[in-house]
Amino acid sequence: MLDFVTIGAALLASLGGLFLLWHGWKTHADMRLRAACVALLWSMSAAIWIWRFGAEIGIPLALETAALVAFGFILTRMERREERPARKRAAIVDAAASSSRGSWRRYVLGTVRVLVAGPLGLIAAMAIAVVIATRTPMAEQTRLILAGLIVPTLWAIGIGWVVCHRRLAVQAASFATIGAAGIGLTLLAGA
Amino acid sequence: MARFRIPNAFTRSMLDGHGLIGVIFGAVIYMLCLSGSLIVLVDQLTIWERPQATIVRAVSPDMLQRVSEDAYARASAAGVAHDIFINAPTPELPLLNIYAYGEGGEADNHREWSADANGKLGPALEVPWVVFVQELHFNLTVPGALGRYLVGIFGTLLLASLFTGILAHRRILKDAFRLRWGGSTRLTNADLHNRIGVWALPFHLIVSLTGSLLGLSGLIIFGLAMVAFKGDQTRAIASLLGPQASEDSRPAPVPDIRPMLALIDAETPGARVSQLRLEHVGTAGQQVTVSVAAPGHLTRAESYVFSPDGTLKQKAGFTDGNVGMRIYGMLTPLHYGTYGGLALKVIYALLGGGLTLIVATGGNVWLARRRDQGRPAPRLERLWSGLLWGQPLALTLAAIGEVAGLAPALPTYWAVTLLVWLVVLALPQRLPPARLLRPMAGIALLVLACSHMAINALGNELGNTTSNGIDLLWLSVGLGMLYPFLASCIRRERRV
Repeated sequence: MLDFVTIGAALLASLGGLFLLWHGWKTHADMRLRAACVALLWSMSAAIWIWRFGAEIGIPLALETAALVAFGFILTRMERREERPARKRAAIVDAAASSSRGSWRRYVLGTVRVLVAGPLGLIAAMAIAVVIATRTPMAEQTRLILAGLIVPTLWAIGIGWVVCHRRLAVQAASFATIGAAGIGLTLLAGA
Repeated sequence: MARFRIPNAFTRSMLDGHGLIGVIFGAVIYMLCLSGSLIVLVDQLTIWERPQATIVRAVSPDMLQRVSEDAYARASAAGVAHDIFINAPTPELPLLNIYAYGEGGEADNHREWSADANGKLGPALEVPWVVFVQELHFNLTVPGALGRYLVGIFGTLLLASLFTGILAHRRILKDAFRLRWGGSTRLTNADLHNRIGVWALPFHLIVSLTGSLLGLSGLIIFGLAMVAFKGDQTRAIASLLGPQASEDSRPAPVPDIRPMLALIDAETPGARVSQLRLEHVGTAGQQVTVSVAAPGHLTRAESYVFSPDGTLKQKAGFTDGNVGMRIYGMLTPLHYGTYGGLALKVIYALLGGGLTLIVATGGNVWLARRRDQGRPAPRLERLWSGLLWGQPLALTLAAIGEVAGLAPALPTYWAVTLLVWLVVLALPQRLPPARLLRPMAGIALLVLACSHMAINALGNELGNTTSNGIDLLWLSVGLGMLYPFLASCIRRERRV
C-alpha cells in the first residue's frame, strides 16, 4: 500500500511538472516562474524515487518513468490531421552521382571517411582513455572503468564529427595527433 | 542583447550526418533494438517457452551442495568437468539450472541440466527460441568475439546518431509537445521520431553507452587493463574479474560450499544465492565464486570468491567497493533493466520499443524527404519497409517453428528475412510492402499465441500466469497489427 502511494505521488509530481510546462508552451506564457515550479516538481518526483529505492536505483527510475509519463501525456495531446496525398515532383537527376567518375569518387571518399571515423577515431579515443587509465589519481578499477566508458562516448563524438562535415583533413589530422600524443605519453610513462 | 541562433549550415551538416549514419547502419540497429526490447523480458519468455519446467522457489545450502556434487559426478562421466555453473532460482525465474563446461568453455563440448525442488538433476531446460533471440542481440548470430564486437560497434554508432540527432534538432523546445498524426507521412514520422527521441533521451543514452561498452568490453576494458598493467595479463584480468583459479591439476574433492554460504549469511543475513561458479572443479587449484542478490543496489549481485577450504579470497565490491567496481556492477542491469522486478522490465520493453520506433521512423523520414525533394529511392523504400515489417514476421515464424517443433529458429529467421526482401522487390508497384507484411506479421502472432496455448492445454499447463500473460501480449500485438487491415475492410464493406 505504501509503495502504491509513494510511486503514485512520484508519478503525479512528474506529471504535474510536465503539465505546467505544456500549459506554458501552449499559452506562450512567461516561463521563468513556471520553469522554477517545474524544476521543483521534478526534483520532488526524483526525491521520492530516491527516498523509496535509494539513489542508485531511484535516479534511473525517475528518468525512465518521466520519459514514459511524458510520452503518454504527449499521446493524449496528439493533433489529428486529414490524410493528404503526397505531392508529385519531377525527378532530379544528380549528374555527378550518376556519372561513373562521380560514383568512383564517392566510393573512395566514403571509404576514407569510414577509415577516419572508424579505426582512426577509435585509436584517438583509446589514446585519451589510456592516459586516463594510467595517469589519473584514482583506484585502478575506477580508472579502468571510467576510461572504458569514455572510449565509446569519444568515439561516437568522433564519428558524428566525421560524418557531419565534408572536409576530412581536419578530423584525420586531429585524430592522428591525439592518437600519437596518447601513445607517446604512454610509452614515456612506461620507459 | 543579440539572441543566440544556431547557424543553418550547422543544422544542415548535423542532419546530413545523422541521416548518413541512419541510412547505412539503420537496418542492423533496428534488428538490435527490436531483439533487445524482446530480450528484456528474457525470464518471462523462458517460462513462456517452457511452461512445464519444474518450478524451484528456494534452495538450501545442503541442496546446493548435493546439486554441485551430483553435477560434478555427471560432468566427470561426460568429460566436461572443468567448470560448473549453478544458476539458482530468482523470483522472476524460479528454475534451478546447472551448466558444466570442458576446457574449451561455452564454444566446446558442454552439458546442461535442470534440477527439481529436491535437487534431483533432470534433462536440461530447452528454450531454443529465447537462446536464438539472445544470440541475435548479443552477437547478431555471428559466432565468437567478432559478433560481440560488431554489436558494440553498432551501439557506438547508435550513440553517434543520438548526438548528431540532438544537435540537428533546431526546434527542440518549440516542438516539445507537438505530435501530428495524419497529413503527410514525413511529418507524422518526423514528429514521432523527434518526440520519442527527445523525451526518452536519458534512457537511449544509457542503453547505447552500456550496450557499446558491453559489446566492446573485451577489446576496450581488457585492452586498457593490459596497457595499464604493462602487459601483465593475470593482473589485468584479476583487477576486474577478481582472483582466478590456479592451474594445479592434482585431484581434490568437490569443495564444501556450506561454510562459505554461512560466512556470507553472517555478513548479510538472508542474502539469496543467485549463482555458484566452481572453476577448475575437482583439482587442487579450484575456487568457488558465490553471487548473492543485492537488494537496494543497482548491481544484480555481489560476488564472493573462496578457496576450496572455505577461506574468503575476495569480495568483488559491486555494492560497497570503489566507484569503478560499483559502476562495473551496474553496466548489465542498466542495459537490461534487471534492478526493479517485472514492472521495470515492462518499462524497459516499452522504452526499448520506443527506440526501435525511432530507428524505424528515422528511415521513413529520410526516404520521404528524398521523395519530397524529387529524388525517390523506390527500391530502398521497399527494402526498408520489408525490414520494418519483415523482422517481427521473421521472429514470430522462428518462434512458431520452435514451439511447434517444426523448424529451428536460426535458419527460419534468416530464410524469412532474406525471402521477405526478395518478395518486396518483386511486388507490383501499386502494392506497398507494409500492406502485405503487417497483416502477415499480425496473423503469425495470432497463430503463435493460439498454437502455444493449444500445445500447453494438451499438457495441462494452462495455469501458468506468466506464460498466459505472454500469449495475451502476442494476441494484443497481433490484433494491433491487423487493425488497419480490418478497419479498411470494414470501411470498404460499408461503402459497398
